[in-house]
Amino acid sequence: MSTGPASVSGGARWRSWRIVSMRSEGSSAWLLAPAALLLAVCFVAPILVVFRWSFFADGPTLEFYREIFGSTLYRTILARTLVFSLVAAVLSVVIGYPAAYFLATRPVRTRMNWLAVVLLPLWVSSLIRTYSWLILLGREGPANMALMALGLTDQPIQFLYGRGIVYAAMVQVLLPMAVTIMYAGMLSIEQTFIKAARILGASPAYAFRKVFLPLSASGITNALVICFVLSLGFFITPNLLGGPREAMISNMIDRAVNESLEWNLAAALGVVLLLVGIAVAGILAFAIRLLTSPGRMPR
Amino acid sequence: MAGGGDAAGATDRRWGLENGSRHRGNALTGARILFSSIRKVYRRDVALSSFSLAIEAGEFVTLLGPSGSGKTTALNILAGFTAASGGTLGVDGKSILDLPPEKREIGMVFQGYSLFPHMTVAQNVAFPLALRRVAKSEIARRVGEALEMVRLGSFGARMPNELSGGQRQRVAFARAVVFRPRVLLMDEPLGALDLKLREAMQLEIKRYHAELGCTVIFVTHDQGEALALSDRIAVMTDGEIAQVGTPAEIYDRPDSQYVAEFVGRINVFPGQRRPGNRIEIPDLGLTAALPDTVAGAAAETVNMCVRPEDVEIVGPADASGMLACDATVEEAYFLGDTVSYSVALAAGRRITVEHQRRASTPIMPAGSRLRLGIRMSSAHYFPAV
Ligand SMILES: Nc1ncnc2c1ncn2[C@@H]1O[C@H](COP(=O)(O)OP(=O)(O)OP(=O)(O)O)[C@@H](O)[C@H]1O
Ligand SMILES: [Mg+2]
Repeated sequence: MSTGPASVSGGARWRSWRIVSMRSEGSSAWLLAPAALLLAVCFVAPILVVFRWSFFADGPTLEFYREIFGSTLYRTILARTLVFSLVAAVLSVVIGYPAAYFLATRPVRTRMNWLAVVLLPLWVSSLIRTYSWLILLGREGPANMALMALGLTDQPIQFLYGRGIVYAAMVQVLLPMAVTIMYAGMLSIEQTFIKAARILGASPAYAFRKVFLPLSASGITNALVICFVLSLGFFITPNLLGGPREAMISNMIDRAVNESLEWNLAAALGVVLLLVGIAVAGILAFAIRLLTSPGRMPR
Repeated sequence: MAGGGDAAGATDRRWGLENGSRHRGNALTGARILFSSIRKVYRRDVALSSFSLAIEAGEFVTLLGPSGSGKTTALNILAGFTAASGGTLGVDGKSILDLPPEKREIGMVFQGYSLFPHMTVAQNVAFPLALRRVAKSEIARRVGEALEMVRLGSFGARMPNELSGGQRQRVAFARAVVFRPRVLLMDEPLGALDLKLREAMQLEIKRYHAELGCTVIFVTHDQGEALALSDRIAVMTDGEIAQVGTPAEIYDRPDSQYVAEFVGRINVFPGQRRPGNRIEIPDLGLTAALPDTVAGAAAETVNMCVRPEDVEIVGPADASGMLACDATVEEAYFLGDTVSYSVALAAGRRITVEHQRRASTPIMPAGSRLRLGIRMSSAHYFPAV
């Protein structure tokens, strides 16, 4: 799964490598070989197998797709998966952008320290982080204990098993990723661009809107697409924190593979998820370009 | 939006924009700028200790100084990017220290050009005009005009990364002046260009200045550039101005040994003061009369300084009015129109002699013995500290 449409910055890196290597495109193509081989064996081949399973039972058939799109349950869950992933990705980017901006505008000396702080959560596996939510927010968890001790509530509050907590947990997992990706993009924006805009007459807000924001757009797109695609695959978080009513497609795939043993159905679900994911990622990239463009100038 | 409202209205009136088009060249009068005892203190450094400089309307003043002497800091304080720790700064008699950069109506060319990479050349140049709510047709006309001025009329649709260094430089210049600021700041604008292009751009900048009439503060650590371009040069050292003057004043009448050594090259002969206002120079094996200006100074040691071109290679007899001495060529540097000789004096000191040449002039090889004449009137004397 993961990085399909997300390698937006790869092009630039590749070009700069070509400058370093001073070779033409053709003769340096061998550099791609190890990655291409790995992808072919571990990614393309399994995907092809999954595609095949989704269309063949005893013979070619569309019955699994019919089952998915004919069932209200699957349609609802598919829609919910998209909405959850989209909202989680957007929240991560919106919350992460100011943090990335803060990091990117620190003096070089202190930048690394701040970055370490942002990356700290990644040292703890997301499974453990998810369980910690369960403990923290459970009926008899410290959060409720504290609230009751303070007299703010006399009944334990139902934090778990709902949308809010799923979003919170997803964003918490995605945030370091979103911040680092956008931060990396912002590093290439020179401080003098903002100075130039200011001395030419732009207020700080105008300089941000017309210069900084458009130049950080590719970072936003990368972060949004990566967060979205990662969210599509979440299943521990919705399962543990959201409960069965907030199940996502991945939970359905999990069940089809591990419980009901309908592998063809699981494959079809996987294909649907992949295609929808690619489509939405494309739309997101386009939308960000539109939203952050400096507008037609001269006006 | 900054620059809107009253400020933009005032600007438009100042340039008579409501009367429609105006001819270039007579449109501007520059602003007077007065730095008084400006200080800037960082945690570890004093970037400017007491910077005072009065700049006339329309003047081209260059800040010249070694790295870290505070040139950029002075510009940044004038532009509003850096807050001064003390002192006052006036433009046309009004203090501007409280204004944010966008309200100062100052044009600036940055060292790295800082063209917005996501906008075309035309959009870059239009940026300050769009901010000032100039009408669309007027923007198009003035962007065209500005690009014509820098000879890039047909480049409007290009992106900055499709331009050469010199072209980017010119676009940055067009963008900085298109809104007709009365003050233009340039921080080492030619630093990244090769020598040929630098010289071409120096001519261009002089032409723009004559055409636009704005006050220019130019920063460089290239002394040749400073001498060629400026009405006046302020030589800086350690956050202070060592000397201000016209290029000729700075070069011919340096106030201090620091200025003499920083602008152009100079040979230094340490000397001892002797009774009767004379100076003994052991390296030359002679004593000479001290000029009155130095005679009163307290120091016992006085350095005599002579520029390489003021040391002449003379025949055995015709050294009248000069201090004469013998020397041996150690190395000859061929520079085309001149030859620069590194020579050793009899007493051992090594000095530089610059000799004008023509195609027929032979170059003396290392080891050649020659006689030098130092013109007394061109020597500078500085009390040693
Ligand atoms: N943001 C800052 N924080 C701390 N010290 C600074 C800062 N900016 C400049 N300085 C210090 O102030 C002094 C003057 O710096 P400035 O940039 O004005 O020098 P400059 O004359 O422009 O040099 P250069 O020719 O290298 O550009 C230097 O000693 C520098 O280290
Ligand atoms: Mg500088």
